[in-house]
Amino acid sequence: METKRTPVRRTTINLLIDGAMFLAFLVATAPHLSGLAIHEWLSLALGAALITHLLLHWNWIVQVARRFFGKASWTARLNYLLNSLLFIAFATIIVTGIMISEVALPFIGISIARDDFWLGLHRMASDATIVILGLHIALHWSWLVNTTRRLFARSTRKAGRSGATQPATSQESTL
Amino acid sequence: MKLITRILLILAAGLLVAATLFGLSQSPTMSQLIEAKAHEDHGERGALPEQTVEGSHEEGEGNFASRPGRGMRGRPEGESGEGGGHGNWEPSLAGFTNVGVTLLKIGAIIAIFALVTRLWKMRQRKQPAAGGSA
Repeated sequence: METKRTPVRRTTINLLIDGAMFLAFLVATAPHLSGLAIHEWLSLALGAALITHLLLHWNWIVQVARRFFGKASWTARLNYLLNSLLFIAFATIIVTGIMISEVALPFIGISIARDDFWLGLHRMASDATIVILGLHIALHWSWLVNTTRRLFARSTRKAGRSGATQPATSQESTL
Repeated sequence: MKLITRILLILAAGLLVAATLFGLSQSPTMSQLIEAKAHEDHGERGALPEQTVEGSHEEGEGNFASRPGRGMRGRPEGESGEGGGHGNWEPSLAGFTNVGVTLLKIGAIIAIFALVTRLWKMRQRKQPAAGGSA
């Protein structure tokens, strides 16, 4: 039982982290809504979450990198290229964001001379990230929908079981 | 799940929450925003001519005072402020529009991608059928 549930739990964690990251990204792309302080601190935290996301999918990254010019499917290759672009775009946003920081960096005692070049690059990378992120979500759309459905189905089933004590049925194996 | 992954997860979650809380503590509160707006309105109408926005906030010390030379939070000088390039980043509910626009953009990309994929699959399905009949 436990061995069956572990991958499901991991998928759920992945979904929750990705959801949180997406929400954080949405807030971070709207500094007019959050203000500069939240924009900067949240974006830095998003960088940390991004590293966690990469570590959670590290096995996939290594596997596709090894098979990229070999047996990898076209979908995996496209995914890999898109994810690489997304990583570059996010890294650019974070680095340029640090260069134009008005709240976070001065708070820790570092002040860098302002340069509009970094601001332009920051905005360009942000716009590019929205497009690449859209494609990234589109590529994982079926996973997103299926995992969300499973998650809700599981919670509904659990709620049903708490009312009537039933043994595990064959439906469990479909998860 | 590996121990290191768990630790990283907890760290990331903690950072996310801490950053949000810290950002919230650094950004002006809603009451400050309303107060600043009230000051601004008074300045515009001329009801309190001696109390301009700059004057009422002690020359750049307050949250909403102008900061010439930086221009990030300076409001009275206009969108970009003097010497600034970022414009006005004070939090406002109007920023919800930005979130909506971003969501729309992402939604549009997903919809276009789904459409293209569906068309591609339809084409792929038709091709073997055509090959079989030949």
